[in-house]
Amino acid sequence: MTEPISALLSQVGLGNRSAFGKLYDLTSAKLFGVCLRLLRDRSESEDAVQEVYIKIWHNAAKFQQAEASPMAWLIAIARNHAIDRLRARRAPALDLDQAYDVADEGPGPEASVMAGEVKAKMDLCIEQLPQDRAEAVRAAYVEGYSYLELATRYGLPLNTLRTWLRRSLLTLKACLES
Amino acid sequence: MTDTLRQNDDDMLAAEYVLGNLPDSERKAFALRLSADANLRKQVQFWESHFASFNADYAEANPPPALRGAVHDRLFGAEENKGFLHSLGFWRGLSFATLAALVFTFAMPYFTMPAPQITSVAELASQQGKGVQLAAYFDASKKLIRYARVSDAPAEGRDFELWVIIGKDAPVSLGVVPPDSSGVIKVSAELAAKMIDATLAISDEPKGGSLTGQPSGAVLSVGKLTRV
Repeated sequence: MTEPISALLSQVGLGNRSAFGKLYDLTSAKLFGVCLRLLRDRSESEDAVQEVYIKIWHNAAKFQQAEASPMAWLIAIARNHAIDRLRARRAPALDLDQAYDVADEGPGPEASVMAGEVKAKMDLCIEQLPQDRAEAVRAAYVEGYSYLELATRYGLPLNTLRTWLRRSLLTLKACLES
Repeated sequence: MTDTLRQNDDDMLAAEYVLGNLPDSERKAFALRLSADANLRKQVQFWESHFASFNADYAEANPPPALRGAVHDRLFGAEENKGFLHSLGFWRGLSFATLAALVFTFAMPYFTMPAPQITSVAELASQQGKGVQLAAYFDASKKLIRYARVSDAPAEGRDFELWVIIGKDAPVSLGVVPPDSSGVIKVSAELAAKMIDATLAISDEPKGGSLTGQPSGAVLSVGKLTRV
């Protein structure tokens, strides 16, 4: 799985349109899934994913295999774009269940791609955090919750929550670097 | 000690940026700093590679089939029909995930418009990541600059003045940057015709702008226009 995506990305970086089409076919379900989960709005996710692929086309030449798995790199583009949209919004979005009715199909291609060591370390370090904190970090990343949303969920004042989460991130960093 | 604190603070900001929970203004400000700071980019990459462990939580969902063609048309249809996107080099000249966040948002409606546009963008920032941080989007055909400022407003009794430097000419004033955090600055037809690749700069001036016709206060930030 890892070979085709990274090879396709290199081709796309050279301006190969048919490689871009193949890349879209292989990865659009995952990236659309990312946008849906974060934006919780189908029509906005459709706009977002188009813009994500436009960015991918123009930035493919910058992908460096040494730094990231190709799937993680693509997902980072999609997440960044969706979160930019999310944070620029004024009102909170719909409840997750209202907009997102897609069955969980389990891990996608990135599972096999994720550098094994990094993932193992991350799993280990996340486990060492108190459970509510590990969950908060994960929910912030996966669901795109703002500090305000997290504070509401955990019933904490905004500043307390931010301190609380930052402390968890510091602990996490210390563990990841040990 | 202060350096260590600052280092830690940046690292936490990097983690929060990757998590995505920073408020909009902090997120945009961080994205701008990111473009100028390789060390910060490394910290972001560190967190991106580790948080990627959570990517398995994203279930796949097929987008509507028509989207594939829509992306293709937006990228290549425009190019084939109008021949302008191809020459633009588009985002390639810009650092990814930086300006994109800021400029793409307000530049996007233009790319979906039918008429060809001659446009360029600049990111104005000082070397130290301090001073005025501002993203500018110049549209030659409309003769205007759209800007978004992510740093603080000018001090009481002072104004930010925007300058354009064309080639080796002396700076020409584009006027005072309005106090709003984003807006539009009109450009004369004469200037608009020759400033597509020019450099923009912002100086600190008395209220109403420089009295001398040249920057009289400190130059707070500089950025080159890059065609998109």
